[in-house]
Amino acid sequence: MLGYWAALRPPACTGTLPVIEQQALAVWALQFSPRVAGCEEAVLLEVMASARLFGGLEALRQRVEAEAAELGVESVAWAWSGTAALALARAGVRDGFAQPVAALLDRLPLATVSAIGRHEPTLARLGCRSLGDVRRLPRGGLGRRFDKELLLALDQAYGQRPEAYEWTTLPETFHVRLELMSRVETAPALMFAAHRLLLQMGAWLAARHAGVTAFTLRWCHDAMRAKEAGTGGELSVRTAAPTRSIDHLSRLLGEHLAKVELAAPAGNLELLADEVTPLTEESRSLLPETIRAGEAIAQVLERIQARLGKDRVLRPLLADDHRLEWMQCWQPADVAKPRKRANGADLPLPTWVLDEALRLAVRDNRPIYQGPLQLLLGPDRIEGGWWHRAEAAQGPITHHVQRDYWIAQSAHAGLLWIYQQRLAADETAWFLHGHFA
Amino acid sequence: MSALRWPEGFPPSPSSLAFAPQTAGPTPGALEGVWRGDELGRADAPTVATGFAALDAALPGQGWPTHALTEILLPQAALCEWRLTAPGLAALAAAGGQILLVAPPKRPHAAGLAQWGIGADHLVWIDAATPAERLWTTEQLVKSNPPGAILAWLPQARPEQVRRLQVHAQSCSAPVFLFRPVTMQREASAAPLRLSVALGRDWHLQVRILKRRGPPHEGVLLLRSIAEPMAAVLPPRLSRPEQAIVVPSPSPSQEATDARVLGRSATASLHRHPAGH
Repeated sequence: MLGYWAALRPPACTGTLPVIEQQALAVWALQFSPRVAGCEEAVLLEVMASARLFGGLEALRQRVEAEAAELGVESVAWAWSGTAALALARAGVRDGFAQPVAALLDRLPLATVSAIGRHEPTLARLGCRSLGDVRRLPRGGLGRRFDKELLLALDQAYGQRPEAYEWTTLPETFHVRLELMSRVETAPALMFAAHRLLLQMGAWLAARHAGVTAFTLRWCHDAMRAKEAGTGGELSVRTAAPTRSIDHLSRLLGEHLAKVELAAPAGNLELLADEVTPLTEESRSLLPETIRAGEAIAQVLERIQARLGKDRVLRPLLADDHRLEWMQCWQPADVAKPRKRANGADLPLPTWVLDEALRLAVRDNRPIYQGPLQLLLGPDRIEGGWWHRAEAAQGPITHHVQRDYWIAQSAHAGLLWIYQQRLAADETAWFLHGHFA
Repeated sequence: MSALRWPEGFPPSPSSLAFAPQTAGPTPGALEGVWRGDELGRADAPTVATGFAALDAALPGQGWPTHALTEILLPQAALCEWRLTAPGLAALAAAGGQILLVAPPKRPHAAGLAQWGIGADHLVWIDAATPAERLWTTEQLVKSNPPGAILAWLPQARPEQVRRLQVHAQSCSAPVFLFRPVTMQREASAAPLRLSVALGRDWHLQVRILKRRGPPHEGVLLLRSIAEPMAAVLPPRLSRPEQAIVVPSPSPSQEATDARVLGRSATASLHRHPAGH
């Protein structure tokens, strides 16, 4: 069957860079087309039916070659049949459509098609050095003297007979390993190899039309390590919304890895996708105002949380309480908010609130804060909280408050929200609790 | 002297030329690029209305600029940021944007901000502690072009860091506000709009525009800014708090004299709170 075939040959060994396995390469290739087969040492991929989805044959070809290069696969060839593509890949020719069939294949040596290369000594004594020579031999004689695979392979290479392959199926779970060529000492240096694993995970997610919400990166320590270092470590990363964007996941992983310290040099890496949920990407829009250039705000906040810490990016949750310090609760931004919302108060409230109320000095029976305070409106008695019990160091306490709030004006600090509280033995004290912007 | 003799029909009069322009004066398109020195600059990006008519009239584009930084200099942190910016930000929050706060000086109070029109669903507080974290966070937010607005308190930002933020802000369609201390007034800054804000009398803010596209702004703008619930509960005599009645407290020495004269000890309860209940 004629089609648009690609043969991807992972390099046998490259010395310093990690090598991808054939099965992992096949799973990666499944994001482009369901017709992927492993053949000897290479992966064959037929993409004619998927060309329109990816924007045309040329765009698809560039994309496959670029992403294969990121995975370390340099040898990619394109041809009209699988056997021919594999032969061209072995010979180092990239484009099998540039010249007519006969011109390209005739020049290739016999070893490029393995069914023919098996009989190379015999064919060499017959005077055949290239595939063209074999093709010119009489077919009847070839069929009688050699096994039928030779003629079959020859016909399939020249596109005269259909090929049948066993297509690779997509695995249900994602778990890949990568062996690093050299031992890695620092965690951020793991990022390069982890990026390759993330590319494969992205391809697997694309093939399954799913997004990941949690994944784990595991590394194994080298055999030469201190006793207390352990066999390895792992790092789990969670995202708030399911995503399969490689950029976002790799940046998030980079932020997490920057905080990790390896106990011993690491040799092997594994990546597992823990939680996978179906994901539908939003379709493209023709309207310019719906197209936003820039990351989604949720992803930026996730990255900032990964670097600064989980409790540094906060969103408020209003509570039904009259006491100023319990009126709101700032929670980490990725915690889901409850459906029921509290109503706001209708009396004026400050926009900045102090964590701990500040006791004010009193001069001439007037509180002072950057100048004597002029009380404008009040008092607003807030009393409550007898039901709020908590455990403190010195035993159970209740957060009961009994305060008279005033709006006060200071010459230099603007409008303040202060309160007067009765202390023991008929003493009162003034406290500053908030600023009106 | 002999006059030059021109042949008939030479020099040609303008009306006789076939390709003479039909309209007098420059075409409308030609005036786009011409800017007179005494007029206010035109903003080349959409602006966000500030909510104050006097401020809108004085700003290029009649509003807070987008695709650029706005620098606001304050004498103290947590003094009047929301009174100045919240009337303009309330419209952005209502349209679904997120108001992102980077390293605010004190804890923001969501119930108070809801009274200015910024709901609790639209607020994000990023508590970056070190100056490096503040700058990095602001840069990431500006580069991501969020819907809404970004407010960043950067007391220790240097001019080259502000310039870098300005370069990134050129691709950000949300208004970006930087709050810096007023001591930075004399330093050069890459932000195209710089304001200095101080408290004025009687619920007013004194705004000086230090730098804008166009002629320099002379004088001080007085903007009356007060939250809706506060305006609802203020009695009429407090519309001018400077003139509110103040009961002066008797000085201690005079009180002691009275007590000696009157023959009884002075008590603390003599003093009443000023300006009534």
